[in-house]
Amino acid sequence: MKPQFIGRRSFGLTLSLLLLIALLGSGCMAVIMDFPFQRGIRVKTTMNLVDNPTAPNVPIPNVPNFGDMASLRDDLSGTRTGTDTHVQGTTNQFGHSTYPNAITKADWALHVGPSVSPPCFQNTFVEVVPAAGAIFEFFCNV
Amino acid sequence: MSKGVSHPLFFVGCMLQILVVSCMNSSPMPVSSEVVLFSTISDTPFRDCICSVETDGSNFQRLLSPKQNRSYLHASGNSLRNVLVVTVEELGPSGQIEVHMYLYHPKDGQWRRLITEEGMEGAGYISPDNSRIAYVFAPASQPKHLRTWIRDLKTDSARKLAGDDNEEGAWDGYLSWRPDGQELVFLRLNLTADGVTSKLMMVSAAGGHSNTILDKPEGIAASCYASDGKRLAILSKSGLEILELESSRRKVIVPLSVLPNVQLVMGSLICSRTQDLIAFSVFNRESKQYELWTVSSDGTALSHIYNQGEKDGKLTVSSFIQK
Repeated sequence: MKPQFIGRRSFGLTLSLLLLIALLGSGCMAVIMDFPFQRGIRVKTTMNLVDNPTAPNVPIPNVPNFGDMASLRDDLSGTRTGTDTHVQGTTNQFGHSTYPNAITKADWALHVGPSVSPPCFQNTFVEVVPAAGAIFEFFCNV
Repeated sequence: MSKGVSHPLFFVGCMLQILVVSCMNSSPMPVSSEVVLFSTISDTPFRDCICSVETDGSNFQRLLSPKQNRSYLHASGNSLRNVLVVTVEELGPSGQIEVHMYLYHPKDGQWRRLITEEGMEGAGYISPDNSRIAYVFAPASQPKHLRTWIRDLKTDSARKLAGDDNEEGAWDGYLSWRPDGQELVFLRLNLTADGVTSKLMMVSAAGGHSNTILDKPEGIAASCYASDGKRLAILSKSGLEILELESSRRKVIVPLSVLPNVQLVMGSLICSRTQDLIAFSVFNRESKQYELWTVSSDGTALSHIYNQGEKDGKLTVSSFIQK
């Protein structure tokens, strides 16, 4: 019986498959992950450490914040996510308030503070939130 | 030349061998049985994750990757074969974001809520013998009192440590266990008219009065017990220092002049319990990179082992952990 050689297409397929198995098995594949669920708004409140100018971003917990969508921005690229036009919360121990369902591709008016303890005055900012969502870091003013 | 050599499968075999050998060479042998555990807090929601690297900076691994409605803010542990305490940001049943601490077993992937009381949950730190968790918590009845608590995992009982104050507006954070599990240090932070102040405090794991080790003017950003339990590593305005607890003698082992253009990251300092090794992270304002450094407690073997771009998120080290 004549030996059967693998056809060119099958050979290419086999080679690709074996290479893929080898890559996965050897653990040398650079795993570049792009997380597909970018969305929403995260408000972050921070302040400098008084006696140490090299430690500038101390997260501040318990700071109330809220926001209202001002207008949609269809001129921005990407797909809009979220349905909430109003968000409200208090920053956690990491100094964050996260609003995953806030409408993106929009302008937002965000208000941070006031809080008595820790004492932060109220600040208002108008920010552009792109389709992928955004984080806004606010320095607490006392 | 024999027919076998010209056969296509021979070529495939050679390619595989070359690939596997080259990959093995690209992953150097581990230098220690410990890895550095760190969190990456991203610039966009639901991209926070828990990662690790070897103590030489090789073999980056993402241990807990974010999911659609869940991401990971902080993790602490002693071994990847034992329980970790993980702070999770997740979408609650009401559609609001909630932060909860969980006990996570990497071996079987099991998750269990650490506390069921209502309140603000922060970061958790597991004791060296895995029997207790020290954590930052404010009960719903006292939302402004973010303080250090301790939970015994055997009895499932919890109590507030260092409950001897009524400082409204002060909050605790950035805890470290003494290697014998008898004591903890933490930072007590306070927002004043000038900014945030920090005091380095010490408290017995059995509870009671907390003592101030270093007061506000020192500008302490982080601390951890050295492996001997007699010294503390501290990040201060002078750089990385070693403080001998008995004599109160201090020595700067990495002055900030050695690390130009850097900003310290609050709480990002860990000490190994099994070897003379300290790890810390800083943000380099010039390169816009978070840098992970290791050094011995005498200041030798300072090594920049890993870095990641600002856009990848804030890097905060949380534990040396056995593989």
